[in-house]
Amino acid sequence: MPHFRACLTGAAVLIAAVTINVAEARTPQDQLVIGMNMVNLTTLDPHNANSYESYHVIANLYDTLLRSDPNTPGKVVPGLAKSWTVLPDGTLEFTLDERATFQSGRKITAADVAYSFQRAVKLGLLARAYYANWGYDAANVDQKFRAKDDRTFVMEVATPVAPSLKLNALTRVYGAVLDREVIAKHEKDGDMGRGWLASNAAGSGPFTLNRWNPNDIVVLSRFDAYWGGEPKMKRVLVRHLPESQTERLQLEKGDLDVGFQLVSADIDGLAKNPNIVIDRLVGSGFYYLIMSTKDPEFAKPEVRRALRYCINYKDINDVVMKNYGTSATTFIPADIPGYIPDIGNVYDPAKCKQGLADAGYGEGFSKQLLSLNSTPYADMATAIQQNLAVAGIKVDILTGNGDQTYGPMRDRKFQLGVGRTASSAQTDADGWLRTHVYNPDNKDDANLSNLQAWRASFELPDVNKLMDEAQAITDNEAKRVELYKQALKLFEESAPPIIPISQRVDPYAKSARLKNYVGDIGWMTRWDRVEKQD
Amino acid sequence: MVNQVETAISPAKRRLGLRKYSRFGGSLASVLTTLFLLVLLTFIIGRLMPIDPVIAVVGPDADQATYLKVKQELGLNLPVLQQFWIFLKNLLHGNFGTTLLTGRPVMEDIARVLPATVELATVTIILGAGIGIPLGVYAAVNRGRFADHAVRLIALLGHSTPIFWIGMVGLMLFYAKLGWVGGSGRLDLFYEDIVPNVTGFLLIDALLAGDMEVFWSAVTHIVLPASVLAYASIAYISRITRSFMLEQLSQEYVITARAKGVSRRGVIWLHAFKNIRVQLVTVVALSYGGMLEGAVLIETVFGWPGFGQYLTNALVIGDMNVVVACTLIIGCVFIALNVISDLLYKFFDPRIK
Repeated sequence: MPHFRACLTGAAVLIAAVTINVAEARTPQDQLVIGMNMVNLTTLDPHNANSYESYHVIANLYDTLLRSDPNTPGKVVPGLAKSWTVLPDGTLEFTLDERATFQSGRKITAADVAYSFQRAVKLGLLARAYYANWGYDAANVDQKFRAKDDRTFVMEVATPVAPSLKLNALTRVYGAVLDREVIAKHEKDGDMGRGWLASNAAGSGPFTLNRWNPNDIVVLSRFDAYWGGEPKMKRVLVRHLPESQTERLQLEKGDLDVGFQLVSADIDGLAKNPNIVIDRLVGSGFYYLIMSTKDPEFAKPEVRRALRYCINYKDINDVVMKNYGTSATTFIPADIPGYIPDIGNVYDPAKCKQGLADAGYGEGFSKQLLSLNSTPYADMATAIQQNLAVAGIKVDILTGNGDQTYGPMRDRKFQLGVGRTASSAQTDADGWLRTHVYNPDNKDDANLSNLQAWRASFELPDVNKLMDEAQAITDNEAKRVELYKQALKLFEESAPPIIPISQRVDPYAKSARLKNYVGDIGWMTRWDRVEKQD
Repeated sequence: MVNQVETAISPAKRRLGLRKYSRFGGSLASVLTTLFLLVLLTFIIGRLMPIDPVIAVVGPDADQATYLKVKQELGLNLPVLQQFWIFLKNLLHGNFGTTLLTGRPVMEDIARVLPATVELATVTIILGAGIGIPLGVYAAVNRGRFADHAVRLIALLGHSTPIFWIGMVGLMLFYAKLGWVGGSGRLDLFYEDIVPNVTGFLLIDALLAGDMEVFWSAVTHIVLPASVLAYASIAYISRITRSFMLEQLSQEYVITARAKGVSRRGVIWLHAFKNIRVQLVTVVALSYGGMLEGAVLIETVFGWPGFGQYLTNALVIGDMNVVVACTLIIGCVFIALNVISDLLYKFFDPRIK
């Protein structure tokens, strides 16, 4: 069949023609190309953002009143406010930088700042809970957040709170300042621009939003007239790459400058490549094991205490959590004031067995453990299952998606669970303890489902008291830290049902060509100073 | 007299016309009923699944007030039937609603992801049918010989190898090692937003804009995922073609034709192949329809922003507005392909009227 052979040859020539040798890939000098899994990038509204991915994009579209120095985590530096004063009653007064303008070209005024913070509370979304910690609610924000004059924004006190807590928090995404005039044009039925801002931007950041196609691409363009100086990159392109190995290939090939959410094996592989640098953002949450004290066995402190000895923390951290977490023994990390060494997790299988026998469970018992069906949760759950099996505790792992795993925990209908607290970096002991050990109302209908201690149905009134007292100290940092230490100690002595396994690490890979790409532990990494070397 | 004839013919004509209309009406009613049941079932199954999309929207650490507010805003606190009624009313007004996760209009999203999938599926089916059919014919004609075994082996491998694995190996070899093709996505990222979006099909849009650089970037990006998908398609189409052809080649008319002195090529292509065209149309149409549903694994491996990924992500979090809209579209695609196949039957086989 000569014709058939001719066809085959023709096809081969055609394929060869289209697969022309693509020139060795290298991203353009003036464009930053980033790969990430965008499944959790669900909104660009700063007041409703809840993920690592959305924070990164929002940080470049908006400015916050204050910024965190990425080189010195916890150090607050000027943002839109060039200076600030703490008045004797705890009121904060911010003086705005006169150069600051929105991308619309309008000067930023104190009224814009007041509007933005009022919106954060009134919208009733994620940012609200943040401000509610300090006593602000929809009824009082109009008085408490106000413009003294065009350049001076005042944040009055609602309940006594250490000013450093507020200053730190204002460096995060919920402290973004929004252009109220642009929002007004897109407002629908008094929604304060909620519908529109979910996929558009009205900020003053170094980049403008060209387009965001969910689970596909985000295109940002340089805002040439950025008040903080013209960004070096003309465009920033972020592509949805759900498959880690594809992302790794693109990084190695030079088609990507930065890659997020790579799996552990790919991080290890890339670490050997001289053209790639691996950075690790440490400290934006904990991987934990939680027990419900509504369960008859876990209601007993002696069972919880024994169980804590059963887990081989070192092995889990060295093997399963490699590249995802770093060892943690208690809920205040080592680099945060308030940390207590030699407290918390200890692995001692003998004590574990003895403790269970003393509690009357020498024969063990059976429980169900909830876990996300993804890495590293499922692997962590399996490791815990094996550890507990040695002590005679039979664990059935039930894996599922976010709703199936966290849903029952939020409803307090579970026995055991593994999970991760996902809030952005907290550089103060208060944030860490509040999420994990604080529970001011243990009733079911209190619905404090954002607090891990409430999820575990575990209330320690003395810990709550110490926490409240500490938060209200406005003039003595040493005393405040001391109270957090006491609270942590008390919590650890009470056989807590929430056990930290690892402190969260977010590793990312970047091209060695990049200069000035400094990851921020609060996920507010800025891309405007980034440059590329030849 | 003339009038009498006219009146005698008219009722018969009218009956014929009416029958035609009623047949059309009947088909339309059955299509609409099918679509309605499809929507109802998908919606109810979706709502009965123990998935609560609210946590996907607010994140696992949200406080209860935010959770409840979002749940109410999304209408998920209403009874299922009431939710369905609202959905149906919107649907009849041509409104598919918004996605729960991002709050964007579903139709806008679909208008973006569907062309990506159609483009990939079309290139795939051209490759799949273009190579699969001749291969199948070749194998049938050479039955039992080396060529036949080789084609069957290729088909077997195409059927039994996981497609994501072939995709990944293909990327490692042709993209990372040899540099012959582009990486993930539909374009090299830095070519994004250079040509205006007219049809949504990048290959066409680039040609319309006359930008050959973007066109080649799109070609080098589509060639690998399309080839990987086409491999599976070639495996299927060649196997079916082979068996159709074997059946025809054993018929007496083939022997007669040969006895009459018709050339071997003439017998194969003008006699035997002509008779399997109608069946092949069905096979190719169904294969194409299957691809239009989106190839989730390939879309994931290649970061291809298509329909399959869109639908799967929605299914995972229980975003029923998206799932129902996508199901409807898939239903419509199959109905449309059926209609087109029917037309092609008539074209290829004059006996069908």
